[in-house]
Parts: sequence; C-alpha cells; structure tokens
Amino acid sequence: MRSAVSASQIPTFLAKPVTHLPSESLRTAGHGQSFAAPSALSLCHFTGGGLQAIRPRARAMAASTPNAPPHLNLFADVANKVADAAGVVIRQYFRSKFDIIQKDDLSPVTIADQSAEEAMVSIILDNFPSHAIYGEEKGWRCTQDTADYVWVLDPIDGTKSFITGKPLFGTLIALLHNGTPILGIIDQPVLRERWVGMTGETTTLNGKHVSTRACSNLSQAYLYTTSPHLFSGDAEDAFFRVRDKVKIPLYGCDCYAYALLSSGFVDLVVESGLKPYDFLALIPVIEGAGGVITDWKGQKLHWEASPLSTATSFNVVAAGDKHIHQQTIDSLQWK
Amino acid sequence: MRSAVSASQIPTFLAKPVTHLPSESLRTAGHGQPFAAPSALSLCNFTGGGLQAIRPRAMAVSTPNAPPHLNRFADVANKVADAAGEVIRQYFRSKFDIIQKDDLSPVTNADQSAEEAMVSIILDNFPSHAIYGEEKGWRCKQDTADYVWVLDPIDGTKSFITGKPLFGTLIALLHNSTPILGIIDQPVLGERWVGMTGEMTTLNGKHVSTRACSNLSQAYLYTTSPHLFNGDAEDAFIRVRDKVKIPLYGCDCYAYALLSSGFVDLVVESGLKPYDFLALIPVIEGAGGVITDWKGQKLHWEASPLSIATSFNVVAAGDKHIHQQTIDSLQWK
Repeated sequence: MRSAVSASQIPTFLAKPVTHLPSESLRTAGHGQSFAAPSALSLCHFTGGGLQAIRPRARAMAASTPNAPPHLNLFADVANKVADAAGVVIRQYFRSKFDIIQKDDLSPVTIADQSAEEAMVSIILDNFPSHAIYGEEKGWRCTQDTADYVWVLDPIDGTKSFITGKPLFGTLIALLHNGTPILGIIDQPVLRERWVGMTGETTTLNGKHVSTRACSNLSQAYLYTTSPHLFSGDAEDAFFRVRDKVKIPLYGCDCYAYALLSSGFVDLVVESGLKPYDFLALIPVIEGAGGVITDWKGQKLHWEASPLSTATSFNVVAAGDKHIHQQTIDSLQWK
Repeated sequence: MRSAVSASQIPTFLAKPVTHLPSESLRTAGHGQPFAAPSALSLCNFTGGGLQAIRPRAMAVSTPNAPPHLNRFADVANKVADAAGEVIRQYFRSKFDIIQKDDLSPVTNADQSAEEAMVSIILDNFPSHAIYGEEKGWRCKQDTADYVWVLDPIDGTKSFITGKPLFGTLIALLHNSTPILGIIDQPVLGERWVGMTGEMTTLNGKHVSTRACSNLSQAYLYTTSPHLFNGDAEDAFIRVRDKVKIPLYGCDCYAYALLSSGFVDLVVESGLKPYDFLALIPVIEGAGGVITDWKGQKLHWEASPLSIATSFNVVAAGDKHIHQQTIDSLQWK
C-alpha cells in the first residue's frame, strides 16, 4: 500500500530568504557580531579517548538577526559562546573514561556535566555580572538580590545517552527576562548542530531557518518520547491515550526530539517530569519554528526563577502543528 | 552517593598495537589493497535537503592476518557500504515517499535505491555470489552459492524517516551460511564498524573492544522499543529489564555498535530478521562480545533460494558473565 507523505513541508509564512552561512574566515559578522569558529570535528574521527581537531569549521554559529533589538543580538552572541564553551568540555569527555556519580534522585551526573556548567557560568558572568543563573548542577547563583535576566542551564540533557556514547544528548541554554524565555539554544556538540530561537525571530539550525511541518491528524503523527519509564500512574495512562492514536511512537531522543520537531521531521513530543532547565530553552526554539509547546492542559509553561526556586517537574507537549496539539490535549484529558 | 564506574575498560587481550588510520592521500594501503575514500560528512554541514561533502574519509585498516580472499571481500564490502551511504545521504532529511509494506513497516526510496546500488557493486565483483536483500529477497545467477551477501540498506527506517542520524546500513557475508564478515555503517555520522572472522573489530580503522561487566545490576541495556516484544517475549524482556542498571531505548543496530565499542553492556531484542542480525555477529564477536538467541544458542539462518526471513530473538553482551545472567533471566523455552 502506497501512502506518499512528504517528510518536510515548508509553511508559506517562511517567505524570508534563508540566511547564508558565513565563510570560515569570517570572524566578525557583517552586523558587528563576532562568532567563535571552533575546530571542526567529524564524528568519524572521534574514536574515543580524545578528539582530533581537523580544521576550522565553517558553521554559522548564529544567523545575524537584523530584526532583533540590539540587546537581544548581544545576548545571542554570548549564548553562542556559552554553548561553544560547553561543547569544548563535553567533547573532551564523550566516549572517554569518567566517573559517574549518582545524585539523590538516583539520576547520574558526570564530571562532564559539572565542568561544562562551570565553563558556561564563567562566560555568562564575564559578560553580564548582574545576571542570575540557574544551573542544573549548582542551582541559583547571583551577585545581586534579584535579577531581571536569568540564564537557565542544562549542560547535558540526556546524560544517560552521553554516558553510553550515544551522540544525541543536548546542551540547553535559556535566557529569561522577567520570567519569560526570550532566547533558547539546543546544542549537540558532537554532531555540531545548534538550534537557536529568539523572541520575534525565526528559529535557525546552524544559521539556516527551520520550520515545523503541517500535520492535521494525530493518526498521521510521528511521536517521540525519551522512555516509557518516565511516566507514572495517571501520567502513564494519559500518555497511552496519545500513544495509541499516533502513527508511530518512537523512543530515545531526549531534547534532540524537540529539535527534530522544530526542523519539521517529527510531529509530536510528549513527556512527563521535565525540569525547568530541560524545557525553558525549548520554548523559543519551537515557537520560533512555528510550533506549539505547553503543559498537558494546554497552558503556557511558566516557572518563576528566583533565589528560592526549586526545580519542580512539569508535563510537556510539543507539536509542530496546532491541530495535533489540540488533539493531543484532548486525548491526554489531564486534570 | 558516589559510585565510580569506568565508562570503558580495555581487556588485557587487546595487546597488539592499535592500527593507525591511513592518511587521507593513501588511496592504496601498504598491503596492496585499495580503499574507497568517500566524502567525509560532518553533520554540522548537513542542514537538510542534501549534504555537502567536506573531504575524503579514511575507511579501512589493512588486516595482515586475514586470508587474501577475506581482505578482498572486505575491500568490496567497504565499497558496498560507501555506495549505500552515497544514496542514503541524498535522502536523509529531505523529501521522499514513505511506502507501507505488507507487514505495515515503512520503507522509502532510499532503502530501495541503496539496495540496488549495493547489489550492483557486489555482482560487478562477484557475479557468482548470491544476495539476500531486505527489499528484494534472494537473487543469484546460479542455483546455489557458497557465498551469500545479506543486506539491510537502512536498519532503523523509522529513525531515518524522522531525521534521527542513528540508523545503520548492515552488510553480512556468509560462507556456507556462516557469517565471516559484517559491517555496521552510519553514513551520516561517518562511522563504520567492520568485523571479520579471525580479526579484531575496527571502528573507522581503529580496534575496538567490548567492556567487562560482571553483574547484570551494573549493566546498561539498550533495546529499540518496548513495542517490539509480544506476549511471552514481553514477560521475558521485563525480567531482564528489571534487573539492569539502566534500560535505554531507541538505537536500532547502533546499540550493537556501541556495545562493540565498549559503551553499552547489553542489547536484548525480539523479532529481528536475518538481515538485521547477521552483520552484527562478526562485529560483536571480533570485539570480544557474545551474541546468541534467547536460549544462548548461536544464531543460524540457512540462506537459500527458498529461504524466508523468519524472526529471531537476540541477546548481545559485552561480557560473557552478564550474557549468562541474561539467558538465565529470560528463561526462554
């Protein structure tokens, strides 16, 4: 039986031209922003126990965004440097020996998580000493009592994938302004893929605009979730209601699934028990690609970042198309 | 609580020096074998709708201990993988039609075109060999053949369809139905595991090895999906899953490759077809691992014009101790 389905469909609103990748020698972009050009690393030369740099990489770290207010471009510039710094650390540890520490909640963390977070924090505070930071490993830190801007960081989302040498984990960076995410980065430092979303801008993957795809019926949707074990009790029942309706349920992607959704290759991601540092970065990326991301009741995800904040758990739905988003909310029936 | 675990432990048998990667300009290895040097592709230059080649990639290491004919087979097998990769990279993350097969599994133009490219190279080099491909089944000029190539152009088509770069091209060569050569190739990431009888498995030319793991409670387990187990098989899987340190999902054949490289301890799957596991055997065994059915028996499929692709339950372990514990837990009759 033949059923022709286009693997990616570009919505008509994506009318503006795709931004070109800057050349390798372009250290300073035409719009007055400098970009780091780290060593290019093809995974084929990554054989464990250390990486071998090949040559400078011609990857646009961030497309210039002429429509964004100047301060937002500056935040994006620094955010890219933050992702670069995390990537340098993470690549050193990927597929090499390291200790695995079991946290109180029994999740694993490694020296890579901790070192990457320190590298990220260092760059943020060098540039914005008054900003606050909430990192997965160390929690809240701020030189002031309050801050309008809060960076929320997860150095390695998908530590279990990282630990097992599977190159699909991600570095997540979110910048909140008065509690609202205005910038988000999903970075895969081994594959050298970086999705960047900013308020008012179209999301980019390595400098090129991306977009979610249309999908009008849940029965046609490709769904991802990380693991069947991350749903408990009622949440599991709710997930099954959705899982049993989609075209194909697939597993094992962590934040990379949301990135694939933003690029129009996946239709739906449904997860439970995500922490703020695991979803805040996704919001600008998905919304900037034309998608929808909410909690299981269809409400905007909101987490108040403050010195007293705790990282509570959230149930998340992300959809490339508002139609299947609504059908998912209806199927979840979450109270 | 701190529990220090080394992410990779090299067993002492790996005493011979690691073979160096040939330089980029080395089109013919010192041992008289030409190797294809396909375009290296860093995923960072792959932004959908076509890949941009960066530079040639060093493909295979010479194997001085292998009989000359086996090296020749390896040479051709690498070209076969190269050819599949060229096709697959054109389609990855671009528009293509998805066809639903009789068993409701998806297949794409990429699967079919890649298989044809692979077959073409095999028959150019070995016109008397037989081929069993996932898409087209058995083909052979003679009535019988001592050598049979068993091919799966894209193992993990659902991952491929969703733009996830962890599917694999699987190539097995059987001699009198015994796998003597196997390749697991990930054409987007540029990673190729090669296993051959009597040789140590290599990843992009460097030797790899499974890691020690003496107790199931310490094992990292992969399986593709919880939906691939039915009835008793599901109960058996759950018995193992509940004992391991962490059960993880979503890797297709790449999980077996990670196991061969010592990053994963155990893979347990059900319903695998011959073209999905035959290539894994030389790769895993050449890395020091064990791969059997759920009763602990060697996996065997008789390749002939009348063969059908029956389903098998597979266990692969990096360490014989957890392999035995897994067989004991599965309790498969």
